Amino acid sequence: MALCEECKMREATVLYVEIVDGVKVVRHLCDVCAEKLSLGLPQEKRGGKKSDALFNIKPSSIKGIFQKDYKEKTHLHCKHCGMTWEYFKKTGKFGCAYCYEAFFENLKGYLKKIHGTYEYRGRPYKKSGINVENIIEEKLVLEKELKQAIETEDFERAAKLRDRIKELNEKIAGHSGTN
Amino acid sequence: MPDIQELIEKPPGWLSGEGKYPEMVLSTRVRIARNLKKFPFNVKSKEAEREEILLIVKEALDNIGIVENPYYIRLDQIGKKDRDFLIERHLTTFDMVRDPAGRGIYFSSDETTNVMINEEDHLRISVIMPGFNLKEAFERATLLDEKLGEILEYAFMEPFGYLTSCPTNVGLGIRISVLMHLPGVIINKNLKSLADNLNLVRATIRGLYGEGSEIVGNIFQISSTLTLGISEQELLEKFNEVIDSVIELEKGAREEIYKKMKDLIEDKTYRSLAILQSARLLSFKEAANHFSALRLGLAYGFILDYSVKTLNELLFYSQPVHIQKLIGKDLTPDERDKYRASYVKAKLSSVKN
Repeated sequence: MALCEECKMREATVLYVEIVDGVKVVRHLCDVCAEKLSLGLPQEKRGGKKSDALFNIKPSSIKGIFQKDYKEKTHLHCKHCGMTWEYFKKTGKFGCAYCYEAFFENLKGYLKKIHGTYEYRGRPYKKSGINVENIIEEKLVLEKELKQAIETEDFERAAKLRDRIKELNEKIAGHSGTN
Repeated sequence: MPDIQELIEKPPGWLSGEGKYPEMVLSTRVRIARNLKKFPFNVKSKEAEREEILLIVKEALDNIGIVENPYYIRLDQIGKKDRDFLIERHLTTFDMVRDPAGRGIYFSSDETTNVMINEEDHLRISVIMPGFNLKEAFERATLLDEKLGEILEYAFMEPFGYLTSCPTNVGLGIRISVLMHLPGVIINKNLKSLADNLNLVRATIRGLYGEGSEIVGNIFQISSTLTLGISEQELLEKFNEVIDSVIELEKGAREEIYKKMKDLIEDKTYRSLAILQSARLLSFKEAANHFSALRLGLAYGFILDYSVKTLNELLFYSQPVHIQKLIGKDLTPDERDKYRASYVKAKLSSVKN
């Protein structure tokens, strides 16, 4: 059992990668110390070796905890699209948005391995209250019907459909922000 | 359906040779990956579903109306040659072209804004600006993304953020990339070391057409890879810093080369110019390497007759499908080399002061 290079008490379970003055420093740490370091909490001692590097990116501007290994449940599958964890591991592509729920337990570790973290830090996503997507879909259906109506020379129906499509267009325009 | 031939007649706006460091940084691109919540990702989507996505996204884009004078092209309604042309134009990808059914692109007439519909993700919003211009590319791409996100329901889930087919994009879904001309790095044999250093700061370097593509004419694509644990602003700042470092590295290499072998480089510039002006057969690769020498010669002030814009256009219009589109017929590789040589020769003599 390798000991954590920081506290020399607990078992080293993560590979901690940090750029110090443009130099990659890899350290074997325990969960506790790695978490502290990634949060920028004060440490008792730091040891960063320096050598020639092409870049001069500011110290600790990039860091992350790269899990060496994580426990994986191999038999998970997504009920929504049928994707299995095993198949995902082969292709690297998920089948649908619900895969992220189905594989939630494995994903935290998996994402830590490739990104160093699994947490989104971007702007919150706000959708407007009304689902314009549905209105668009309805409109597309009506447009098909309109075409048919014109082909079969059912002009009364065509006129009604045209009015309804016009209404929907106004609705869409009202929510797309620029009109 | 617009005529593809219209596109060949005017070069894309992002090749204009404007912006910061236009000779070294050809263009800056911000690409945002998004998916619609209610449809499966495209590895699982059925043709009817893709059809629906295509219609919905196109309708949404028409309504938002911020893509100027848009072109909308369904890849399954044009021929193979036209699809290959759009790859050379950076408007579509090898993946989309491999199976074009139910896939499309929606782009501004100057080709700086493009939305790929049903690539790996349902939407790939992309803005390309000439030179090193991260801020504007980012602002434009974000504006379009926000407008679309208001009327379409994106797949989004805490704590991961925007959900994408490939977990390398999950989170921000944003990838920033720049096309750079790096002859100094190559002459100094620093490519491997640059690639390693970029890797450490979560960036990656590839050939002209991105993933898996070959190195042509010392042109490289450097992209960000980080999408989690970081805000949009931090990503922007960090990547700016990375590209500044690469610019400094290339500048330093060029200074060193100038001191050590000015005569040799000047000689090489003029030899390349002579070949481009006189050759009767030119492969794309050979032409691209000579264009690189001209670019460097231009940066050193050895030659003054040609602008960065001209050199950008020469490089793009020398591509295999572009040459065939310029001539207006299908050509064998040997014929292409012949027409390319005459195109380059004519272009160089027509733009000279």
